[in-house]
Amino acid sequence: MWKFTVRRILIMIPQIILLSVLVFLMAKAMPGDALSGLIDPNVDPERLEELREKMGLNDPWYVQYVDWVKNLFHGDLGTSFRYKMPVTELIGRIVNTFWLSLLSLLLIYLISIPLGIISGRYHDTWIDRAITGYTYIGFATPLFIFGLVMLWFFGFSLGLFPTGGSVSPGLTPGTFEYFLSKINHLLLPALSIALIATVGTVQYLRNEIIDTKQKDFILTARAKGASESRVYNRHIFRNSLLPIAAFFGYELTGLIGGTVFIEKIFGYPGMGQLFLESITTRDYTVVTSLVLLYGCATIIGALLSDIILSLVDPRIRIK
Amino acid sequence: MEKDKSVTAQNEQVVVETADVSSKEENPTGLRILWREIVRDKTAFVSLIFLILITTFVYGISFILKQDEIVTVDLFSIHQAPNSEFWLGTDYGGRDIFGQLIIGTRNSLSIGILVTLMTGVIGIIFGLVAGYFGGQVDNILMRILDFFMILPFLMIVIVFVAIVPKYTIVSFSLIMTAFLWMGIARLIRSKALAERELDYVQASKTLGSSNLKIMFTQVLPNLSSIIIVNMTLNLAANIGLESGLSFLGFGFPESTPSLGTLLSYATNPQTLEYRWWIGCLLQF
Repeated sequence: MWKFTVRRILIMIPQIILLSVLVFLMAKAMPGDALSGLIDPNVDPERLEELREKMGLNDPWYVQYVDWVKNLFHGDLGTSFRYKMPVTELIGRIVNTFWLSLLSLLLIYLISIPLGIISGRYHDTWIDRAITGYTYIGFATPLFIFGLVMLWFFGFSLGLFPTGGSVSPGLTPGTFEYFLSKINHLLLPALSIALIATVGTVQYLRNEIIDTKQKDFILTARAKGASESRVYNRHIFRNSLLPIAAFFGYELTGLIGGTVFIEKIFGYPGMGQLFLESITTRDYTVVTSLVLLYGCATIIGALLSDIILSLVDPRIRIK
Repeated sequence: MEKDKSVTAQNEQVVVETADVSSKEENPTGLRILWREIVRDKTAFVSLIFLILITTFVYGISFILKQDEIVTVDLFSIHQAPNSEFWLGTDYGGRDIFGQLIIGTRNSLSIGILVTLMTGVIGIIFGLVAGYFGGQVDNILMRILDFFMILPFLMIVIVFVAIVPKYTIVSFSLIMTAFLWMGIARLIRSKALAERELDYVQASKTLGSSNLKIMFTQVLPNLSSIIIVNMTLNLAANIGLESGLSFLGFGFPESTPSLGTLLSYATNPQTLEYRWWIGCLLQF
């Protein structure tokens, strides 16, 4: 187990290095540099050139890359051109995105596991057909369209949920009301993500259960006289859950893309919205930091998936 | 499982079939079987007719409609409700929504097909080489693929769209393709790995066929069914992605409408509340 994990982590290292090189080269390809934001008519161009030389902006790219990585290790991601503050302070918003992803993930599993089990257990009945019908619709509907419909229906028409922001104004952090307001703002975006993202898991679980049902060990269990509920809950369910557990990490990374759309639609101040704002205002230090951050999140998600998979499925560890 | 999927799979299969029959190495008997199956299955047949109608309608009408004319701003007809001149009303620039819908659908569809074909070609070649040769080649190619897999797709594409100075349908498709070929490559590779162990490959080798010939004329046709299913699903996903990017404002400018651009008009809260005819695009 440990051997596998350590080897898996070792594979991660070159990936992270490559990712950082790519992100750095992307940053170089973008117009403007750390000083462009400071240009004002009173500054002598020669002085700027001097500053550039001093900051190492005229060095070859690999020297700059090493400097950049050194700064990264010191926790310095650069300064935002637009907000004139360190990027590390700006990305404090990650907390919002984190809660949104967590709640979505929770809802995804709350919805998909019962639906998958029901439709797998009673397959080819009307209830299974209804559930598969739902998954087809879910597959066909792009997330952002669904988000818009939810916003329009529950937010505007029914007025049940707030239509923007992450918390109502005028509440002090730490109070119970503040917490409730946060949840209230989170619920609609998270539900929109969950209802769409869940369909893949439902399908997987359903197919997995139908497959497992026909295996020999289930026949053995029945022959031993295990009750129907025991066969389903202990034998089939536990075996069918393997791929679902394994996909947990990928689900996590898949959410990253989803939150960008949803944050934009619901005006939810998180990382995705910050990223879109920074791109449109050409705030490149923020953009590169965010790409790097999301890349690392994806790597960790893949790592988690593999580790969970090796935990639940011993066959993988041997390789 | 096969049976449950068949309805959608077949519907979508049809899309690619009609779109790029020529590019597929599918032998005629296979096509004939497919045709017989479709005619027998009522749902699939109706869907096929429906799809052909939409595609010919969209591509046909877009020959008559001029894109430049439709996207020209007309200040006298801003925010009109649907009437006889503007069938679906007008947007905030006084542009006809019906025309934009047709042009937008055409643009989205074209990009979807283009990206699907390009990712298909790259993915098939990459996966086939990795899977057929196996061993060290496979190992190296898979590490490259792993790296592409961990890139945060949406963000990288948005950054590239921002960097590329002037972009057209082709360059946009190229950017999308560069980060989308991994899925099909992985699939083909795993199937090719299994295929190379089969007797017919060994037999062909003994007879002295070159690796290239075995790969593309013998292994590939055996994987065609899985390629078709995968590519049809990709087509749908790619159209969705393109609309998504345009929706976020990183697809095409307003002068080249796509389904996503049109949708983003509808996010304006005022539009949502008062101008239902723009919001109605959501129905599409």
